[in-house]
Amino acid sequence: MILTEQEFIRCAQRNKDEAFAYLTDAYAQKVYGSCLQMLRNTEDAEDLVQEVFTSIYLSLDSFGGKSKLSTWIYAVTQNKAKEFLRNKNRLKRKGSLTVLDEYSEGFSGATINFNHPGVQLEDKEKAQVLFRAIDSLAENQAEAFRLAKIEGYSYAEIAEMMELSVSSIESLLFRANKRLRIILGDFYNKSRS
Amino acid sequence: MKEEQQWIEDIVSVSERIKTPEIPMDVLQRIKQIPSRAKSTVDLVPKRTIWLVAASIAALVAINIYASRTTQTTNESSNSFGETYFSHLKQL
Repeated sequence: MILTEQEFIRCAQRNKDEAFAYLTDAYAQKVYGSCLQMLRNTEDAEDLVQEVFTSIYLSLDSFGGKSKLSTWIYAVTQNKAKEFLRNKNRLKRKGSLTVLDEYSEGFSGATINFNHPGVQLEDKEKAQVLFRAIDSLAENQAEAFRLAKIEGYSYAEIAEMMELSVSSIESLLFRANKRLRIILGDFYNKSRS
Repeated sequence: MKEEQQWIEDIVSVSERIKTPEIPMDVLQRIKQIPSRAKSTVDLVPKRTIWLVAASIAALVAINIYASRTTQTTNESSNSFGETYFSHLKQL
């Protein structure tokens, strides 16, 4: 059962716990997928998804229905992920060990120590190259590509999440696809020379 | 060139086969328990303590209002005494 934003608000006013149960059933899977994509670490994603839902539960009253539920949840997820990464980086800097940030080395096609649970076994290596290439895209292109191609959101949903028009998303994705092919082509040539 | 293009398309096509990952059951259970955990966090401060603090604040506010009113009345009476005294001096 899919509730409209207004039905959801009425439900939340009547019974907050019932509204939260609806959100959990409808969005936990998607939020977990987004967390995995943003953090590229299964344990961190599991922690983050709980933080996101705690934050959602505590701020349920503040949802006024101005945006779509999915957009609001994505915004909460994105903010929490940024906060999580900031804290993690701060801890890394404070630590006595120097931890090399694998994402700061640029695209080399080297394997990332992350196995996306949604990737089929035969695609594991290719997926790692793809993720590396996506990370090399401009931030907004990478985000649009991720949301459309990996997380399966519609263009309209992405437009609302990224606060852009649908045509902007289309052109962003067109550029992302083009750039992705250039990056992969460079890697292909370098790896064979 | 053809081989390169095919390799690129092969890599890009992986994105179409990535499935939404299944959230682990234990994580889902923990998420479902958030409302009860949030409530128990709120219940950490007993209601009796909350009422006691509220009553103390109310008592403090009442004392302050009473004190400020008493001070005002004293000032008014001392002013009126001053006026009488000086007007008497003027007459002399």
